[in-house]
Amino acid sequence: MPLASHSAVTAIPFFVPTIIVVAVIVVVVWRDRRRHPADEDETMGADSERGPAD
Amino acid sequence: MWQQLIRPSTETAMRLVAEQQKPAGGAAFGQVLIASGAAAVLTAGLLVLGIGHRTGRIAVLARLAAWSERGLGRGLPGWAALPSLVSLVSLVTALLGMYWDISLHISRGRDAGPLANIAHYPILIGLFGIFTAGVLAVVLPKGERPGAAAVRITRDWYAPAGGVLLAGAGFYALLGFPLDDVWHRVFGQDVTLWGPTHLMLIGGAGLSLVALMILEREGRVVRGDAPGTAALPRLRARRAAITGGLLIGLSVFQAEYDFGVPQFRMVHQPFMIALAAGCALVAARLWIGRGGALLSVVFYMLVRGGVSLVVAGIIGQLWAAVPLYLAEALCVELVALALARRPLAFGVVSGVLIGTAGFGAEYAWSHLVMRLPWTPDILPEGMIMAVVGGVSGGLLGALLALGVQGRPLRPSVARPVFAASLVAIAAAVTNGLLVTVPRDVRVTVALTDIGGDAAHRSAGARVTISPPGAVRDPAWVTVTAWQGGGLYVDRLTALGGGVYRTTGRVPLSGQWKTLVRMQDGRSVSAVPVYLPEDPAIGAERLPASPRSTRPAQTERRILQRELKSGVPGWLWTAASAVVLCCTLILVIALGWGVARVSRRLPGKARS
Repeated sequence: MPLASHSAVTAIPFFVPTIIVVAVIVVVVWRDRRRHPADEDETMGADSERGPAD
Repeated sequence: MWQQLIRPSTETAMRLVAEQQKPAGGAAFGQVLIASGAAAVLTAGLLVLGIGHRTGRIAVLARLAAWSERGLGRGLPGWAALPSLVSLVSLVTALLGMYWDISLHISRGRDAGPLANIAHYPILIGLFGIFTAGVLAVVLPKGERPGAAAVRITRDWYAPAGGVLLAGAGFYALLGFPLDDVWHRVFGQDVTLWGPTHLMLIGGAGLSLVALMILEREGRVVRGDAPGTAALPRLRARRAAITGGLLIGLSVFQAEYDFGVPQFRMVHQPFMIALAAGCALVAARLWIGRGGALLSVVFYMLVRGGVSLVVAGIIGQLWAAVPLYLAEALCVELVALALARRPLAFGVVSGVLIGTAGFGAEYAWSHLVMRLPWTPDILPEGMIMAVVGGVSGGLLGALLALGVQGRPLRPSVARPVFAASLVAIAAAVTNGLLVTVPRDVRVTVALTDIGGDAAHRSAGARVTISPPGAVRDPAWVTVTAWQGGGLYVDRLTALGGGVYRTTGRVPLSGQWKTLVRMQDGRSVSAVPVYLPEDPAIGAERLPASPRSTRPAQTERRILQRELKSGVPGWLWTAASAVVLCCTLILVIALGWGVARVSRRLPGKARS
């Protein structure tokens, strides 16, 4: 398949970091929920599991 | 008949694929390597700063946050002040890039290659800046919970909802870039602003301002103190920058009209102007207080005017006109004298005035600055559309302001109002998109005073539309030429009986694409006058003959010549559905954020 002929190449340096940073934060959240599953504070349980909304 | 001129023959199609294979060799791979290297550097930077800050090993973010609490950030904690500052600078950068990019595409056509368009860089940097600002807001709060609306990351780490949404808006906007690449591969390298993936770029940037409003609210509540008289001007200026930014963000959708090459009906323009005014200016007046709408328009004019000056004056590209919005702001301030304490009524009445008095003012203003001034043809539909836009926008703006002030309406009221506004907007947009192409209308173009050598040919033209009654009091009849190294829009002089003539000389050589455009009510059509050969899409040259008669046909095939024919309809629906889904997620997420701060951070009447 031919490689990028439009703007995907220029977007890589900016788009890839966002994915990785979002993934890191999601992992942090997930590990916290696993470590402290009994924690039921004021925030809605399901919502706080989510990373940045997109 | 027109199809014969752009038939992609099998041989040309095979040659096209083969040509695309060529860059798949060394050149493109090297570019991907460099791009990946840059991605690694930026990723490492964000991760090192973020993790370093959270573990206390790197102090630079904390110092920057403390610095941002002075000056315009006074009254906000650093985790709100610094991201706001970074966002506003990033947004102006992205805005400049967008208008520069649109200008380049209008004057030069599609990009020659992935790195050929320098204007993409300020756009990408700006959108990445918005995302980074959101990440800063998420990462910065240490030792304190940033308000009751904060979202839990871990036991000791809470992130402000506005920060999460700011990062989300930036992420959504950046997503538009790779999706745009996929879109163009499937549908062709067409040049239009309202491609769905382009709308993601614009929408993500514009809606990030809502996230900033939420973040400001979270920051102000944590600070707790009511603004003293000394801090009030700063507070108002800061908020006016945000609502002015919202006005800008919502007005970028009209950019094609600002340049004079809208590929849609003229009635969309008054609708979009009124929608932007209703939403941003009603929110501004409620959120900032007396004069808030006017202050926002001042900010808007400085930034939009500045960008137009830089793009046209300094960079040497095309001039983008700017809608005035001043009358709309005055309307909003006037209505506020009576209705500021009744936000929904305020939104509705402001919207009606925006759609009538404001419409009238913009009508006059368009004759001063727009390449395609408004004409009586758009009455009364244009005014009706403007009232619908103004009222919908006004209601949304009222909901937004009430939410970030912590005085939300009951969900049984707020949700139907929110939904009804969106439905009204969708209905108005759809109305504008319903277009007819006239049948059995033939246009004769007779060139006069043909001059210039083969590479710089130009001529005057006499255009005859038959039957003469086919176009009556049109929205426009123009000869438009673009993508040849500039833009030429000639509003033809009517000589009566369906005969028109140009007022200048029309370019007819090189890479120019020249056509007669006609719009009358719902009827939108064009005939080509000159088109260059385009081997990449298998299109043949359409020479400018001294006299030609052609049937009026749909504009799109001429204006978006690169659009691939024969793409299955279900594919278009599926692709649009993906973009619509992403967009709905963002809009609903922002609604969630406003509802969340309004519930968890209840406020006094004015804060």
